[in-house]
Amino acid sequence: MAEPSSSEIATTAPGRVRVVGTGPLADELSEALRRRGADVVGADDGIDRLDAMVFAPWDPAVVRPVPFDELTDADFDRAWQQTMDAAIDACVAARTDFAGRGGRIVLTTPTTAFAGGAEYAHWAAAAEGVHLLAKSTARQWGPEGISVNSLAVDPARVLADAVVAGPVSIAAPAVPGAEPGDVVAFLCSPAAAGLAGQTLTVDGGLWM
Amino acid sequence: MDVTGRLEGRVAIVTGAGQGVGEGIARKLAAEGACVVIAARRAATGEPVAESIRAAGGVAECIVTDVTERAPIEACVAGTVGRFGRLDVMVHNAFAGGVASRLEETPADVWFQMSRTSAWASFWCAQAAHPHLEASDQGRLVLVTSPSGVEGSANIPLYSPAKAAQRAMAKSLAREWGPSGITVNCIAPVAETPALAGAFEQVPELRGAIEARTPLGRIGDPVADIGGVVAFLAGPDAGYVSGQTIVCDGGSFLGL
Repeated sequence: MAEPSSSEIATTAPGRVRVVGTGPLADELSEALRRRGADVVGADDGIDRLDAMVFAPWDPAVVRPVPFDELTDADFDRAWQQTMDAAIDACVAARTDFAGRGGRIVLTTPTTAFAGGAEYAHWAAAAEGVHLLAKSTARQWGPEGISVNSLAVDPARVLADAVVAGPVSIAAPAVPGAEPGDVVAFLCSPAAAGLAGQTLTVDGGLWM
Repeated sequence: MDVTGRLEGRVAIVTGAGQGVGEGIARKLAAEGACVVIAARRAATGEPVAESIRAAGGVAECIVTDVTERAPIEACVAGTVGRFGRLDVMVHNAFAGGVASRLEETPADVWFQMSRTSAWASFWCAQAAHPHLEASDQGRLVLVTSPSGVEGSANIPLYSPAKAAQRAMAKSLAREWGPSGITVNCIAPVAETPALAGAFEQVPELRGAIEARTPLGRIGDPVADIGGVVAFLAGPDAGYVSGQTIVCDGGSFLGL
């Protein structure tokens, strides 16, 4: 395969990307971005230039089911309020660090946001809240050259118990074993500058 | 009032029923024969609605309810069951905090108001109502969301996540409560209300934009256009509808 030209590199390389969140999904996306040439920085790394931010807070160690009748205010705060507050802070910080040059924001969400989940009302609320934050910021910040989109993933990647949540689909995955690495790298690259408020779902086709 | 009786014998709570969409829903449910609790933040708005429903031959009572806290919601549910002996229909409609702003400049108290009245209050209303909805043979939870909770909003960016949370909760509860026969749905209305009038004051071009995009060419009436859809969801004909959002906006949003 021929080496890409410099102009192709300019439009396809993810650049410097901040990944916000901890857990297997954040780790997987960080590694995928590094393998595709991104300079991946953490939430607290001091930097002088940022090209993209990926918000991936979903960690099976925390995203646990609770029967709705047993859900406490502390549970709801941890799931809904803290996730939303962190998402808002991450978006605003990224916008600041884009420093007027534009950039890309990718907000990840499990498809539980769209399908709902038994014993997961609190986390589904957070997931769909983050999904809509992507649409609102896409609309408001698009004119500044900031493109914001969503990357939706299989609940099995990020829920402590995706079985209790209930099936997303009655069908088998159309593409078993699909990985989000190429898609997150694309969404972080300048090539995604024309996408706004879109959701790319990489779950093998469970959710359509 | 023309009482048709589709909800005869049913007991409903409508939050935010002192004005606007909530008032429209309460009036329609009462017209269908339900005993309606007007859960309003202020007696000054809730009592007149209850009184006018009673004057028209319906059954209504105002219970002053601040939905930004758990305790008043639990007290409203307990008061309703104490007064009427049951609760079949919980409608959470109350909302506050829809102020236009840049995301990066949104005051913390504005986000707090939206988050509390939308996501948190939906949680508390659902949890408080659940044992009574389960005891009913026609348990219904209806959450009032917004088209902005599906499409996103450039004007009030955090309004959309606050309203989106309700749809995801409704889908989740539809799954979790389905086995006990309870349905959980959302409506996403656009209606002539004080809240929309306020939005038009903040963003004057909004009215024209909405009307231009609305095939039916008008902004909805809270009683006839919105209340009727909630009466359907609350009634016997909607027992096999759950986890859905019905967008009541004159055909404006066509994305579902």
